[in-house]
Amino acid sequence: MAKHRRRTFLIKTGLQLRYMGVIVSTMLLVAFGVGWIIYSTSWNRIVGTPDLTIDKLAEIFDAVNAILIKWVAIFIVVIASLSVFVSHKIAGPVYRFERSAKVIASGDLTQRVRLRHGDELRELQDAFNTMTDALCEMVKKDREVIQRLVVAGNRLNETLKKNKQDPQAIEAVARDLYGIIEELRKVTKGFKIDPDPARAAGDSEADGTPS
Amino acid sequence: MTHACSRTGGFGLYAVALLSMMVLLAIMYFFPQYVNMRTGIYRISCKEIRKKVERAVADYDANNTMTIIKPGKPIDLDFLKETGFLAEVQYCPDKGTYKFGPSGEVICTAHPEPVASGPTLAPAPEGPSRR
Repeated sequence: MAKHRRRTFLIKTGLQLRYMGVIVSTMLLVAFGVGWIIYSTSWNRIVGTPDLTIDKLAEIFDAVNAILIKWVAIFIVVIASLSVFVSHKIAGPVYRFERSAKVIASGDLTQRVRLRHGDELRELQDAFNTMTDALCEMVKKDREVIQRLVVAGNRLNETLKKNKQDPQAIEAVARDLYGIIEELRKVTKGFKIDPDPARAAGDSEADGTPS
Repeated sequence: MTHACSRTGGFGLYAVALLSMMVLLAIMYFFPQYVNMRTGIYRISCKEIRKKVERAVADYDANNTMTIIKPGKPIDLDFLKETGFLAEVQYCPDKGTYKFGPSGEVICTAHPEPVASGPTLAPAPEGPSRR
């Protein structure tokens, strides 16, 4: 497997900047909160201790530690709770995409992804739904061609039943059939199913269908 | 397709591993500093407490016919407070016990260095002492 190197770091600038903002502002909030707690607790203790002497240093140190531990625990709980909501904005859409992709893979092309207000990946939702629409359109065209194949098949059957062996009529039906096959080829030509283009071209040539 | 999946799947794992490693390194780096700082602060406080206790013992001895000093025995801080020679009972922050030394000085089981040695941040307030 070839090693993948990242050259463009801001691929989805809006999304990446939003999450950078969330992470940086959270860090700043925590840094400011913890810094302020240490600063205010220490100096309040120093100012608020009557007859302050050096022997009170350990008491002040322990008091600041106790308050700091309490607030760090509160910060952890608050940030963990917030991170659930923030990550849900990504995890929710990802879950919906997975579910929709499975439904579409099972053959239900009526499935569309509908994200909630405020969810991330809305552009992906539009692209995904456009892809499903395109798939629907292709299947619709396939069905139309199949319908025409059925009609041509019926005509051929009737011609053969007449038992006149009219070569012109048979040739006309055969021409129609090849025309429909050509149309079907055009419809399916839009799909790339082989990652090796040379092989795909070879397969097309080896098809053997007269054009 | 597998290429993209392995890239995204591995990134989260690497990020968590990297963050955990950074937290671990930070703890390994900062914890010894914290322990040193706490030990220093406790030592300074303990030294100042011993100075106060020594002054209280000296005051007691000066005002009573019988000495309170019993070398090798723990100091009864509650008694010194009850008798008014000590303003408040303070214990060693490192859970040491205050005892009388061989020559009547106050020693701490957690901080063996004598009161007179080592640096102090500021001189303790002078009290009435006859020692």
